[in-house]
This record gives sequence, structure tokens and C-alpha cells, in this order.
Amino acid sequence: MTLQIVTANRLTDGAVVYYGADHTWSQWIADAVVSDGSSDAGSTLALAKADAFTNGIVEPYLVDVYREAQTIKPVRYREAIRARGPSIYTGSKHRMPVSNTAVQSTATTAFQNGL
Amino acid sequence: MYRYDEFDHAFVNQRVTQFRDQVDRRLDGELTEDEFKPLRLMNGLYLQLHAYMLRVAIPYGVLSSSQLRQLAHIARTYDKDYGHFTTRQNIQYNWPKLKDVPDILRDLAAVEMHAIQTSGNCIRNVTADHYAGVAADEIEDPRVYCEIIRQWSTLHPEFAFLPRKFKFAVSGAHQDRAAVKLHDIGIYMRRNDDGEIGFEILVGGGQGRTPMIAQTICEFLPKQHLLSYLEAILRVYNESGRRDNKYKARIKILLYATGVDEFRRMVETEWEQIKDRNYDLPDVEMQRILTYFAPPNYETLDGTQRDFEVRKFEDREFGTWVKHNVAGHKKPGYAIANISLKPVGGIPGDATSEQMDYVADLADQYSFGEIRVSHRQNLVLPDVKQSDLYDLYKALCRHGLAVPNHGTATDIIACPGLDYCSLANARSIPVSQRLSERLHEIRASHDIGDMHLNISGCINACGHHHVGAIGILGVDRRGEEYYQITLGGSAFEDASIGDIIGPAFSSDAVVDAVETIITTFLGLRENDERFIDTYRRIGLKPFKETLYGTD
Amino acid sequence: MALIKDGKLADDLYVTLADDVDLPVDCQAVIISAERWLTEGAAIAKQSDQVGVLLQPGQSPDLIADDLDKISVVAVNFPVFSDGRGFSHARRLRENFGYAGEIRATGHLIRDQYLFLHRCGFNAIEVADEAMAKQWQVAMDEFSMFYQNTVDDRMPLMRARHPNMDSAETGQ
Repeated sequence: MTLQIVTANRLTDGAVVYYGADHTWSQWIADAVVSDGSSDAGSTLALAKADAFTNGIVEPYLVDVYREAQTIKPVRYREAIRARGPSIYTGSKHRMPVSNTAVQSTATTAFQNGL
Repeated sequence: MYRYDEFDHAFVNQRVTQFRDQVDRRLDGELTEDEFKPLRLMNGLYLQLHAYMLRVAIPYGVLSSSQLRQLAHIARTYDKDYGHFTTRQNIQYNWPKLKDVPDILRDLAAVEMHAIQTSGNCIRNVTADHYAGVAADEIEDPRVYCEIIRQWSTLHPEFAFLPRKFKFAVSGAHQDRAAVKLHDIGIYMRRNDDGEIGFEILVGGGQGRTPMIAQTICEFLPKQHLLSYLEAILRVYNESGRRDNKYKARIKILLYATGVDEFRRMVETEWEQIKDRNYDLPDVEMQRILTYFAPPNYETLDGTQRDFEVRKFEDREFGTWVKHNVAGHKKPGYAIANISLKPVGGIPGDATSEQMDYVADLADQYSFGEIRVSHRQNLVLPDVKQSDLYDLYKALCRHGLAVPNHGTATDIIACPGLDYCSLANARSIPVSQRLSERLHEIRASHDIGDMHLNISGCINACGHHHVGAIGILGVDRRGEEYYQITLGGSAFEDASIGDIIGPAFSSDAVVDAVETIITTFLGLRENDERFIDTYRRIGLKPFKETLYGTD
Repeated sequence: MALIKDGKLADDLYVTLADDVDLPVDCQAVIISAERWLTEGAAIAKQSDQVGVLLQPGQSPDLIADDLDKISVVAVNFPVFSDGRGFSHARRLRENFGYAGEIRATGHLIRDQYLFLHRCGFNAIEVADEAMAKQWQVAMDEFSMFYQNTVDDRMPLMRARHPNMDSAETGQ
């Protein structure tokens, strides 16, 4: 059975949000209402769309998820990246390499393994 | 460089006012997202995976120090303290809030900048040789004509809703550093047999899903006809370009369908009707724009600076930096200094506000206050005295900006990829970081020469993978990130599209695959051949064999 | 529906006829498709001295270039706002063919295109309701600086910057 949740972006800052209980939108995927079955998901999406405009939410859509150890995880890695944020460093501190060639690598490992 | 007059100032301020009103109407709920989206896109504002992204135009890659400081101010005030320089010589901010964007545009307008036409199916920011005006091999400074095209294309009423986006590049030099042949319209400045300077006009280049090399439709166009001729090309494209399929809507597909001769005939037929209709600039206006690009007050210097030569010899690291990052200048005693934004393991093209401020200061101190952005996502100080290079180098070292890898394998082009971009199929930056680290290790023990390694996170090819000597394209293979490798691409005057070597590699395997390619190259290289030359000599087969076996 | 013409709300005298509808007996002014014009235009022009032709985006003004002196309105349809072919049609009608009659935009257009339409030679537009007339005026006033020389009477910057330039220098 496919599990689905509704996600969108917030109008004011574009942040990723999920449709939760009682017509609320949360930045945490854990707060998302999980639908099982397409008719259930369809009606959740319809509700979310109806709520979106007044709540300043842009273009809600459905995402396939699965449950693992009590947590909700997106099936596609695109959605996993949306849920967690970029897998790379997104600040300005510690960007300076200590020498001309080495900069601390913020690249890869933990996030990649997490997918 | 060009400075706004009262008219240009009034124009961008009117544009800011217009967008502020549009944002207010959106936030008040008067405009729906469907209505607002085309309006924000016309001001360079995208909604990406995690946030908005604002793309600011840096016309033909030229910045003053005060403009670069303002870009730093915007990063610090409205964003996460950094910006990303792109392959269109623009800068992107990845985290602006919608309500702040009108203020950002106001701050940009104050330093004669904007975000107009950095998105949408219109004429985008014109790009140019980042050595324009200072290159030793230049016929004429192309910035004058870039500025003329910039003004002409800004809110052009007829060409705001083209079949697809439209990109120009202009080069005035013999060597093509602007990837001219990969643009919808590419322009080379040429000198004819009578010694007059004019334009060779090429049409139909591009990357994306169907990469093509541009073809010449006019060998020599006298300067005074530039705008009417461009207008004719754009009109033919606007009327006849395909609109039924967005993947076939670029001008290259039209040119391919009609053939170059028929396309030329269509353009010339239209041009005959409009060439005398006052679309072109009057001489006085050409002259007005030309005067802004008068050379700075160069000193008369000796072509060989003894101290500089000695320093290169004494400080080998400095010598290495000069070898890779410094290019010849048209004026004796001066040099062009490339500032690498590709630290090993870093994010290609990213710069913090502190680094931007610092480069702005160095530009004031050493380069008449001017900076260039290259389409390879680096910065350039165009007018440095050779005798100042050592001090400049030492100053750059203190801020991690003296990486001696310009034009080498670790000078990787990478698009933002799936870490930011909603169009991407796979991540680009983490792969570029791991590759950069590995290639740095290889370079420590082997001279692998200059080579261009380009990575895109999807087929739209913002990371120019088709024209990398080694190109890497991220794809989604059954829900996993995979990377397809192409070899033999070039963005220079010998432009070529890379050949796909075989099945794609997983994210874990792609770095090893590139190492295998380089090891194969080192084994088959003759003398000091560049990778691209070896590849052109021996072809795909030897690389295929070492990567996939002979079966 | 309402018609804005030359910046003001105007009565629409024209009836747009589908290809399978006969010309009404008492009708003074009609707009017909370009296909119908090419087959029945001569006959219809005998019954009415106000005949307009509707161009679709894929129909070049070349189709009717020889007949423009008999056509009092050229309507240019925009099925979706993002299809910008009509902008070129209008400029070719005005500039290449010297057409002086009404050029009317119909179909799906957004307010932010009004100024572009006007600059390309449209002097009339069909809009959803009368309130849009005010929007038209707002759009006309949003900018006062223009970089390109087009058919409208707005002074392009290439000339505005040189007020003392004589006409020989400007090529005018």
C-alpha cells in the first residue's frame, strides 16, 4: 500500500512545508498527515489545496513515503533532500581554506549514507 | 565600464516600483501564484526546492568594486552570507525571502544593477569574453557591443514571449573564451580585407537536450547594422520557432529544420525590409557608449618586470600560481589575474560576503576598481601591474583565494544541482567536491595538464557537461542518482560536443571512473598533450576498454 | 467582454463570425478568419465596408498583405499569453506593410503585456470587463524610458539622450 503525504512551499520564504492535522502546515515531515490509499490521499490533497491560498502556501502536491522505525521517509531522494535541506554546506563560516589547496570537505558522507 | 545616466537610473527604479507593487499584490492575496509566477520570473525570482532563488544579472560579467561590495551586502543582509557565481556570469542568491526581494532590487538599482530577464523566454543576460578589453589577442573590445545589445534587449516589447529562452555571447578576440559557438546567437568581432571591423554572426548553438554547434549566417556584418540584423533574426525566430514542444523550441531546432541557407534567406528577407528603419543606433549614441569603455590610465611600463621574474623563480608557489592563473595583457607590464573560486573540496562558484568585499578592495588597490566574472565561475582582476602581482598573490592567499588551478582539472564547472534546483535529477556539487579532492591528489603526483571537467545535474546542461573534455551528467536511474560520462567536449573555437562513453556510474563509482579515464590518458598521452588532444587522436575506444572491459 | 481602443473603453462595432455562420443581413461590421477572407473576402467586402480579419498566431500577416487596404481591422489572437508571435505580426503589419487601421489583440493576455502590445502597434484590445480599462492606463504609465525604436510615438533613449541631434544624424 502506498503511503502519501502533502507537501508545498511557503509563500513568504519558499520553505518546505507539510500538511498536518487540523489544517496546519509544518516545516517538519513528522507532523505530516499520512494517507494510505489513493482516495484518502486525494481528499487530503483537496483539503490542502483549499487551505493553501489563505495560509500563504504555494502549489501543494502528493509525495510517496514509507515508514521506518516510527519515522516518515520520502521514497524519492529529491523529496529526501527537500525534507532535510541541501546536503552541502550553506553558510559562510569556515569556508576559508587553511592553505591554498585544502578546504574542509563538507561534501558527502553522512547525508549520502542517510539516503 | 558603462555607467548609468539619468535615463537608465529612472528605468531601473520604475522597474523596482513595478515589482514592489506585484509582490504586495501577491502577499495580499490579490494575485494567485499562477498570475504571479510569470511576473516574478521576469525579475529573476525562482521558487526552488527549499527557498526562493534570485538571479542577478552581471552584464557581460563586468563588475565595479562598489557593485561587488553591494552584492556582498545583499548576501549578508538578506541571504545566508554567500552567493553563487554562475556559468552565465551572473550571481544567484539561494535564500532570499519574498518580502525582501523588492528591497534587494532597490539596493541593486542603487549600484546600476538589476535582475531583469535573468529568467523567462526572453533575451537573457549577454555574456562575453571575461578578458574583454584587456586580452592580448583582441581585435576590439566587445563590451561596447554587449552594452548596446543589453540596452536593446531590455524589455524589448516584441521579444518578451519568445518560444524559449535566448542567449547571446560576444567575443572580440582570436581565442574564444566565451563559448560563443554554444549560444543561440554567437558573435565574433572580425576584421575584413579592407581593415574594417565588423561582426561574424553565428546562430543555433546550444546545449541542453539537443546540443549543437552554432553555424555562421553572416560572415561580416558592418557595425552600424548590428541591431537591425539581430532584430531580423529574432523576428524570424519569434514567428517560426516551434511552440508545440518546449524541448524543440530553441532556435537551434528551427535552424536545423530549415537548414542554414534557408534560415539565412529568411533573415535577410526580413532584414531587407527593416534595415533602414532606424532600429540601429545613431552614431552619436554609439560614440556615447564607446566612451565609457575607454582604457583606464595605464602607466607606460616595461614589458619585462625584473622583480616579478625573480619572485616567480624564488617563490615556487607564486610561480605556479602565475603559470596557471595569470594571463597576458595587451599593455606591456600589466597582467590579467584569475581568482579561483574552486578551492579543493569546495563548492564551485560560491563566494562569501567577506570574500566578495575583499576582492572588491583588491580590485581598488590593484586593478582600477574593476572585476570580471568568468563563465567558468571564477573572478578576474583584469588590469594588474606585473610588479603588483606578488603582493596581490600574498593578499589572496590570506583569504583562500589563491588556488593555482585556473584551467586545470580541479577548476570544475558545476551547476547547483539537486541540492538547490527543482529541475535537477541528481546532485552536482557533492560529486564535484569529491572529484576535486581526488583530482587534487592525482595532480600532486602527475602532471595531467589543462583539462575542463564540467558537471550538470540534469539535461538542461547549466553545468556545460556537453563541452567539458570530461563531462558528467546526473541522471535519475530507477530512483537513484547516476552519472553519465562524456569525453571530448570543447567550448572553444574548436567547439565540439562530448561523446557518451557508456552506461552511467553510481554516485559511489563515478569518481573512480574519472580516475580510470585519467590514468588511461596518462598511459596513452604523447609528450605534453592536453587531454582533449589525446582524445581526438585516439578516440573513445581505449577509454571504454579500461572502464568497461573489452567484452 | 469589453473593448479598449486608443486607451479608452469603446463600443465594439464588430461581430466576429465563425466560419460556418453566414453573414447576417443587417450586419455592418464583421471580423472573419483569414481562411474565410482568402476564399470569400471579395464577396463579403461587397456587402460590408467594414471587414476585419482574425489572424491566429501561426498565420503570417503575409497572407493578407496585398488586401490590407480593404481590411479595416486586423485582430490578432493570443490563445495563451505566453505565445508571443502576435507581437511580431503587429510590428510587421505596421512597419513593413504600413497598415494604419485598427490592430486588435484578442484572447488570453495579462496586464503586464499591455505596454508591450501598444509598443508593437496594437491600438485595441478585447478584455474581460470594463474594469480592465483602468489597468490599461496603469500599464501605459509604468515606464517612461524605452530603449528600442518601435512604431509607437515614444521617444527611444537612443534619441532622447541626444536632443540636439539633427535629423540627418539620426537617420530620420
